[in-house]
Amino acid sequence: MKNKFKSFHQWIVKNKGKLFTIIIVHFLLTILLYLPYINLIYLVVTFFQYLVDWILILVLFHPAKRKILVVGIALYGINYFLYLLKINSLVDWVGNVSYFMIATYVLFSIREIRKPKSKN
Amino acid sequence: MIVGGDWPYLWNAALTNLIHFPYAWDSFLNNGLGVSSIGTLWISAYLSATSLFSTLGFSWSAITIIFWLLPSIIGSFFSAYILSKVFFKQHILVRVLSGIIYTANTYFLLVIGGGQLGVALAYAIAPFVLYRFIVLINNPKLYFSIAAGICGAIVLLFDPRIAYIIFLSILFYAAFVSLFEQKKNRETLFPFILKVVVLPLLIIFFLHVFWILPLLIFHQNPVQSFGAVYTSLDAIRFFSFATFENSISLLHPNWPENIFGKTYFMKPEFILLPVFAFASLFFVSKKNLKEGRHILFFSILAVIGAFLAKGANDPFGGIFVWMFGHVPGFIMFRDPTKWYTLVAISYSILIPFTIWKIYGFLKSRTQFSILNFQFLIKSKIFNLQNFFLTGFILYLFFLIRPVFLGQLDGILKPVKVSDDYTKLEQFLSSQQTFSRTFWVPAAQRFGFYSSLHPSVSARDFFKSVDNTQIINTLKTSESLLQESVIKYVIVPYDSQGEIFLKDRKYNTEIYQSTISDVKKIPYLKQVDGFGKIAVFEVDPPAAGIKDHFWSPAQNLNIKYKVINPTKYEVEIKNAQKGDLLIFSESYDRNWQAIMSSLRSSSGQARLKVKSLKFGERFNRFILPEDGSYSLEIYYRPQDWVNIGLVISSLTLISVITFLVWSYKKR
Repeated sequence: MKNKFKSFHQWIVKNKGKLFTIIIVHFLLTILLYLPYINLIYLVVTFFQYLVDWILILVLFHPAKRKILVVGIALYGINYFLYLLKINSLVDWVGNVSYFMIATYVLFSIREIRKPKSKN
Repeated sequence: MIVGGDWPYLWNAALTNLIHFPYAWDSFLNNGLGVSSIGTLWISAYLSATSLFSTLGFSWSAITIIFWLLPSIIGSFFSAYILSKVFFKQHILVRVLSGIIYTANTYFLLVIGGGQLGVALAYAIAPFVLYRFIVLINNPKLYFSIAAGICGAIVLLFDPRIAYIIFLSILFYAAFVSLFEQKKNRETLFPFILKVVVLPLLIIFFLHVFWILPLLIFHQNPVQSFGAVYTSLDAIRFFSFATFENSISLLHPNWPENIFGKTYFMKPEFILLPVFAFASLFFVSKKNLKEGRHILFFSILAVIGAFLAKGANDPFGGIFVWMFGHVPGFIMFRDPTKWYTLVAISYSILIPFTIWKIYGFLKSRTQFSILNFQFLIKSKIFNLQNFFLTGFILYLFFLIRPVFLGQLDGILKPVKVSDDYTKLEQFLSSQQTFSRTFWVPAAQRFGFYSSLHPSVSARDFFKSVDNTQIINTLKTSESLLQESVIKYVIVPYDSQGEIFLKDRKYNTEIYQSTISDVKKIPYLKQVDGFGKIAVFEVDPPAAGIKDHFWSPAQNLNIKYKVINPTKYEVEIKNAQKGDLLIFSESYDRNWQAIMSSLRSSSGQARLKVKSLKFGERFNRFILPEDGSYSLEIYYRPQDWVNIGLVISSLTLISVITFLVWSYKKR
């Protein structure tokens, strides 16, 4: 257990730049989306900053496809307990994140199971 | 009686009135003042066909069960069972599971319970249509092409929205398959498109030409006719009842009570469904690419379906709102829950796939250990895999437990017609002259109506849902009611608790106050003998009781004969040029009067009088001649319905003949 925490800490130290980038972008986007006129985007595309977060994670960390699916489905499982605890605000958020992850896995999989087309 | 939700109750007289060829005008079923039915001819054609069985002594309830309810339930099971044949050829048990998931889910049960039996039939056949097209795309032969066309036409007959969803899925499947298939050259591409796209579409078009043709020619948009309440962007936001958690968990937002607009908190036990569905992606093997592609296809379908079924709700609800306003056909989805169909189809494949794989895994584990104790399972029945499968099926039934606990309302709960309504039916049926009944504030589902005595709801008539406003308007509407040939004003006995509501619950005070308010209206006289139903007769006008056709001119003598809902023969005597003939059906510019006496030798009518608006609602014709003559009052779109019916019938005969011939040849 101690080793796991240690490696997790090392991972954070190693990727602190990337993590800060995501946090700063999220923070800036949240402020931007509350500004007049720009908030129109938020009216149409709510959950926008989280989508940007997710794209940044994909670009900066290149998570393994299988991990995305595991975490996505596991989040649904976690959501079950959040429902039981009636933490509704978190439930919606976790559900949406889980949906993004599964959708991403599905999209990534299309490329993988494509068979090379014959050249004739 | 099997009645509830959107499913009406039809007395025998009304049922008899429905036995006819498809007509472009509905004089009593959906609106007591008459309304164009071109936009709904697809389903009313099936309704008329099933009503025919009343001549053999079938009651309305029997017709409902035999031709609507049972085909929906049995059809949905076998439809999903057949679709899963593509993937689980050798595993009957898994295919049965597909059928159970597709049939025993909250969406389908509430569609059935809500009496949307047309939607239920379309939902039932949807996986089979997808199956026929999957077969066609993978094996583009003429026989499969025609079979797919017929299936597509059947789903369109029951509900265009489900048809739209399923056609989009087919299109998506074709695009998806093209990603992996060998690129077709010009020589193979053209016959492929011809057989997979053109021929089925032509068959669907020609089989439905009887309503598509008049719709195109008379530029009628059936969706727009519902008004802004149904088609505005605010409406789509209001009708988006399902949250994202609901849609991805295949949980209908109104489950289980099915009260319009009353949504419930998420039920956590449903969360396991998407977990099982998307866990199928874990079991996709690179060795079996075909299987993997199909699982991926249905996963994408589930992801899209869940996203669209939540409508304008988060995340990215704006996308659905934008599509509603811009994507052709999306205007039909003011109620986005129709997209649950995609989720149900996908889950009926994905979940059995996961179960099958877990079942196989457990089967391979006959030996296991717990706390260093070794266990060996030899039984063919009492083993891990069977426990797992039984447990899952029990879980599915646990999800729909309100069905077994008798908690579902709507048509799934039989009801008895009150004797008061039987008395009212006998009273009205005994009157042989045309007159309407006016229901305050709204018609009750057991209230009698027929083509001779259509019922008008005060809420629709005065375009208000406020009881006080309705009563106040009614007080000053004596002449309007007389012009509308309304003979009786009725305050219903709300035996089902659907009309006099306060906070969605029946309130007897509203019922009693409505009766006492109507009693105070001076031009209404109460007719006794109907128990809790309060019936009031409207004072006849001084100039005499009005009929379906009447005139403000006193000199005119009018007699008429109903040929069918789109055609009347009217005998006019003592007419003066310029006199008005009022036709008390809702105004539609396509009504016309044809002077029969002025027909040429070729039989072509030479004088046609167009309908003009009388007051706010009715048709009027300005009589073109002095004297006595006969007129034919005709609804013009019926000409095109008739032409369409000939084409549709010929197409149906041709394709069935070809299929039989082709089948024998095979």
